Amino acid sequence: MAAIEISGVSKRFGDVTALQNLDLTVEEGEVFGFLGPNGAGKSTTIDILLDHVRPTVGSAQVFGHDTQAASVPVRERTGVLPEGYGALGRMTGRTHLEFALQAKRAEGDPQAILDRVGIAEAGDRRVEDYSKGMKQRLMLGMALAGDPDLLILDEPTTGLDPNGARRMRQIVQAEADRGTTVFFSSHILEQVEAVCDRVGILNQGELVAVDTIDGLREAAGATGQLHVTMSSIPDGLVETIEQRGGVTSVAVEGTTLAVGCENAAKGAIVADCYEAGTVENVETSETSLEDLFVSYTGGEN
Amino acid sequence: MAAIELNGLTKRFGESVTALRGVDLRVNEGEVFGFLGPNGAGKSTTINILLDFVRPTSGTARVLGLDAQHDSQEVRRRTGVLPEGYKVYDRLTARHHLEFVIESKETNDDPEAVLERVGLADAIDRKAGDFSKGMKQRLTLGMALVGDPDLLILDEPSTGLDPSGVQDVRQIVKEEASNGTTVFFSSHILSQVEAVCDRVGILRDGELVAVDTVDGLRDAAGTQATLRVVADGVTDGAIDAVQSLSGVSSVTFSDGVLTASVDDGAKMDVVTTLEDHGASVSDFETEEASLEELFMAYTGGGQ
Amino acid sequence: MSWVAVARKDFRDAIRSRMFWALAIVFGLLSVGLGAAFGYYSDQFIESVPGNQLGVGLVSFVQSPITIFIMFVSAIICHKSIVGEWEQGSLKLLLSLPHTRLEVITGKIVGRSAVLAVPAIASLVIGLGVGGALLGTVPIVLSVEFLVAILVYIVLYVSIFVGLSAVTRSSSLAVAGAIVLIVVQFFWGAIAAVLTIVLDLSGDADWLYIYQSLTPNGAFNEVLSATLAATTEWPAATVRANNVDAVYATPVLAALILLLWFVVPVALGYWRFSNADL
Repeated sequence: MAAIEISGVSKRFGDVTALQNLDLTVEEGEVFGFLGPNGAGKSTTIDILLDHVRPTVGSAQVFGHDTQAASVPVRERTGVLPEGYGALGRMTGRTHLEFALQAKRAEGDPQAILDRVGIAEAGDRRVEDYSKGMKQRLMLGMALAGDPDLLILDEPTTGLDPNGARRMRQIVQAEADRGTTVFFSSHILEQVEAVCDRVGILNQGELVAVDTIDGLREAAGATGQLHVTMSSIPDGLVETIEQRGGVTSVAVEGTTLAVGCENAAKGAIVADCYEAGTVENVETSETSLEDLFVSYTGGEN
Repeated sequence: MAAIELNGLTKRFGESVTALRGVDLRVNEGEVFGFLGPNGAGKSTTINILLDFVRPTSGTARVLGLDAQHDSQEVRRRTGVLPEGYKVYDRLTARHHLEFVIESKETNDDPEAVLERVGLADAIDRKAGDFSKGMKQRLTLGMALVGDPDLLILDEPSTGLDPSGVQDVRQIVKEEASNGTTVFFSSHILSQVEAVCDRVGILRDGELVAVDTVDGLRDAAGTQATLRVVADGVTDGAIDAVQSLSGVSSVTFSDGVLTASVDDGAKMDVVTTLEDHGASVSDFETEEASLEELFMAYTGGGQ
Repeated sequence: MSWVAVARKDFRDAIRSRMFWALAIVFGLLSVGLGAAFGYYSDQFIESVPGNQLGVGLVSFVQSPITIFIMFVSAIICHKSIVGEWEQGSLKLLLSLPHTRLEVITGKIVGRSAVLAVPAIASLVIGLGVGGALLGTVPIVLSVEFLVAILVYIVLYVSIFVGLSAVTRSSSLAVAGAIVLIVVQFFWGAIAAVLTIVLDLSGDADWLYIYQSLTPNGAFNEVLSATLAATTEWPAATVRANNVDAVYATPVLAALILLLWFVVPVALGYWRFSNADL
């Protein structure tokens, strides 16, 4: 049984179409990255899963429960870190967690959750005095309360510093190891790339790609980059490399050669460099998720 | 002349909180400088002192050769700021916002041209209160660009922006830098920092613990790159030979992929050694220590 | 002159708020209502007007409710002028531009004064016009002086509340301060009566002149009456100094106190604000 199953969902707000015939399946235990430009329909999709918004056409199921007919069972098994949750009240962090545990009718130790998200000492302080990062950690803690089977995280790293972002990633990984399904919506592609098994890219209400990141790379036909730094670049080397098969571009930046090429061509290119002069360093890079994102969503540039 | 020069900068709030402890920093003119640190390390306090929002307890800050306190007005005339945690004026349109900045800075920029640059031209006459977070961020970036500033201070500029918005910001930073503008770039999104910054400084508990290029930090931290080689016909002898190379450590081999930690100069030795031992290499990749790993190393975070 | 930019921005912002339009409409209704009421029922009101002059009656009939209204409205639109931007974060945008903090305060006072003055003056011109038309006589000089006085009154309260907004660190404190200032003025007379009894001061009531001139409204009204009485047909009996036989009982003293109300809150606000870490 799939954790999330969205079939033929369309949503219109007046004249505006937010989602257009969306089909998406997220398997149980998977960490799924949900990407898209602002306004692509990501928030609407999440709202439909939580029955905050009803689809115009189509249906969505979470663990086999219909999100509209069985919204309560869905939410009992789901932990949510919403985006833009607004001002939090005067209660302490601990009270918030107790409240979240009660709402899920779950046993649990608020202090253990506070420890886990890294605000153990702040449990008895009022939440309105928390920094943005601490609020975000608390919201993550509330999402984790009651050990949900599905975690929906919407821009979870907002306001977190790199230490906080890393801890969040570790928690996601630990949850995934425990079998929790994680639905991870974010603009911070380095975080998505680090934790997600598969990603889906939404653009103007339509799902334009669903695959692993490597799968997306292959589908986009993207080539890798090879950077060879030499003590000096001998005459004729650039021409030699340009004539090799699988090479798409050669550029010289100082004493570094930047070569766009297929993976299989890398060895031969490096051999060429070794024969022609002194090689100081070799680095490779792959097409970044950002480049893939932009190519799928037709970025403005 | 340095664009930013901090000497022994110290700031205490009340009796107990010390935000900055004797920070010395020099940001050169025309450089893109990344300013990193965990929450609470003192980054915002430093920026607030540059803009005279906050006065240092001791030490001095000079911006564009001017005293940050005494000549603050002139400093702010020549500086464009994208502050963190700002709020736009909900009832005013994007055009009104820019007109206000243009009048305040006594320049003659064209609001439409500025908004064109930040990708907000179609929303010029809409109220900023109806903008999405990303649009507000674009508007505020546009406001920072008015008057062709000599220094741009960008505090978490990619907040709320989607990946194409992030690329736009990077493009603008690069354009500004190539026109000689100094950019002081504070962010938690380390991939952004790495992509645009010439040098970075890492602040921890009010002290500057590192200032260098990202490569310089890698060297200083003594991290090795990871090399992965996909090859057929790798024999135990080949693996032993690789292991005995100097500058190569932690060699493992499984599923036809050999992984090793290597110094920069030794990478190709690994590949050639494998081939010399009869293996056929079909692909290889290298992976440098990420700025995140360096950040963790310097700030002792991540536990 | 960058305060002009701040003032213009503030004015533009305010006139786009629903509050501004609600205020303008209430102002208009109030002024026209008062003017028309006096015009229609002048027979019944005129008995209580010193010297039985219709023009004086019209202006004094309008004055009291309008000044109280202005006092409330200026508290509402000014108490958050600085501390509100501070709390919300727009102050960071404002001060990242080349404005000094004094220019920010000046710009705020000018901008918010204009926000109040535009509907106030427009409404009063119509209100006095309607009243005058019904009476068949418009006291031109008196009305013009009265309008100038209303402008002064608006700037007075706007500076007090902007100063208050610059002193405090939270808008709830600013609200509390504004309420205290308004409430104390309402009970100022009652407090005097209590003091007279408790301290047994009934024999010598001259100190009341100073006491009554201490509040912004008390000082303003005394200076206004004295000015109008000296230059128009306004009855001299309304000047409190004329009824008290003491050396210090002179409108000059009231004018000095009024001047302090203009200067001190703003100066305190500036002092706190310019030394504050944002």
